[in-house]
Amino acid sequence: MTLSQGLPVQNDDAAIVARVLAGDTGAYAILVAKYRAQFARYAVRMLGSREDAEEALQDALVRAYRSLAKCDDPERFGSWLFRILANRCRTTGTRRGRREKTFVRDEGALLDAAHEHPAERAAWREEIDRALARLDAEQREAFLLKHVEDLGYEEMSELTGVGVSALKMRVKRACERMRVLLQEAQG
Amino acid sequence: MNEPEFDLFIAKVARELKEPVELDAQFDARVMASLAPAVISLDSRRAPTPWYRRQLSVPAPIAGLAAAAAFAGIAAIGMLAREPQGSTLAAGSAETLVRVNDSPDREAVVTAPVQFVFVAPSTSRVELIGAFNDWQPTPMAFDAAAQAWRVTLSLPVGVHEYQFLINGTQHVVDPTAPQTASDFGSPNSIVKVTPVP
Repeated sequence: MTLSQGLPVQNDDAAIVARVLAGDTGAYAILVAKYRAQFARYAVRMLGSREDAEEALQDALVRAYRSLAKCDDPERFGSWLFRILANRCRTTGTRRGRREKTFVRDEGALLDAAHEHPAERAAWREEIDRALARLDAEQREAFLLKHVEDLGYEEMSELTGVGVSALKMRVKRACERMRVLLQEAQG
Repeated sequence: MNEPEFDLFIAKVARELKEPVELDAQFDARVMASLAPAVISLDSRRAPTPWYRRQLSVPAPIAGLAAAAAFAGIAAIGMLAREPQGSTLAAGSAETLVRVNDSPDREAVVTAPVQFVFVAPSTSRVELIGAFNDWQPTPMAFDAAAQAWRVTLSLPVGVHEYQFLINGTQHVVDPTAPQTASDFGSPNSIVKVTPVP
């Protein structure tokens, strides 16, 4: 099976991984810079806290570095790293139970949307974060992988170890729940 | 279940969630700084248990694993406690790790010899990979008398994860050693190294 929709597959990664394994530790910075933005977004959405997300992403990057020789397909380093991060997010989510319910507001991104009223968009965005936080972890994970990371169900199944049918059901229920929660919030 | 039809409402929600997030400006530097230092176990700061007093029995689940390995033509006898050169026995559990600064006045790293043994007489090549060699294969020598592959390394006191690499392709855990959960699809074996008394 080839992960081709949302997860990165880069020939360049194999060359960088080879450099790192040959002792050029500094080359790993290229991979860090390359993947941090996409993966930070997933971690923030999944964990609901920028601090937790940074911790999870840093831990995933360090784990990946220390186990780089075990990356069987360096061209798919991004997919492999994402799997590590997803597992780490699951562990963090289970341990903390999302008790803190911290919501991330990216004021810069909100203000960039000049075609809408910033205050309205900020409120809408906060409602989305709250609704997302009220999904159970499995539904939130499935929703984010499908609709934010744009993965196919086969990719999601490979990543999570959950069957395609179960994932479809989780996404369906997550969408239904998000719709209800957001419609309630908007009165 | 069929694919759901395109949902404009959900697409609108997803669009918001696809907005990038900002990380701390020092994030990359923090990650890179955390790669270099070696790690040792907090256990090294405690009074060690003499190796001859440590538990030598094989837990029941491990016996089952050993049986499975034997079926495949591979069996491991793990680390030998009473090797002539005083090798350290492999046994233990996961420990909290602490990073050691590279400052000149840090404590000297205490090491102990550890012998790894893997019984696989029909295999042409066995190597040892682990956190202690950055998962770079260390060749193991075949001992014809014992029909086993051996290598002895001097490892820092603490807990180390490792696997055996068979013929350069097959990763195998040590069925006689404890294992740790892994994010990478397969568990690692654990060796706990204590100072030689």
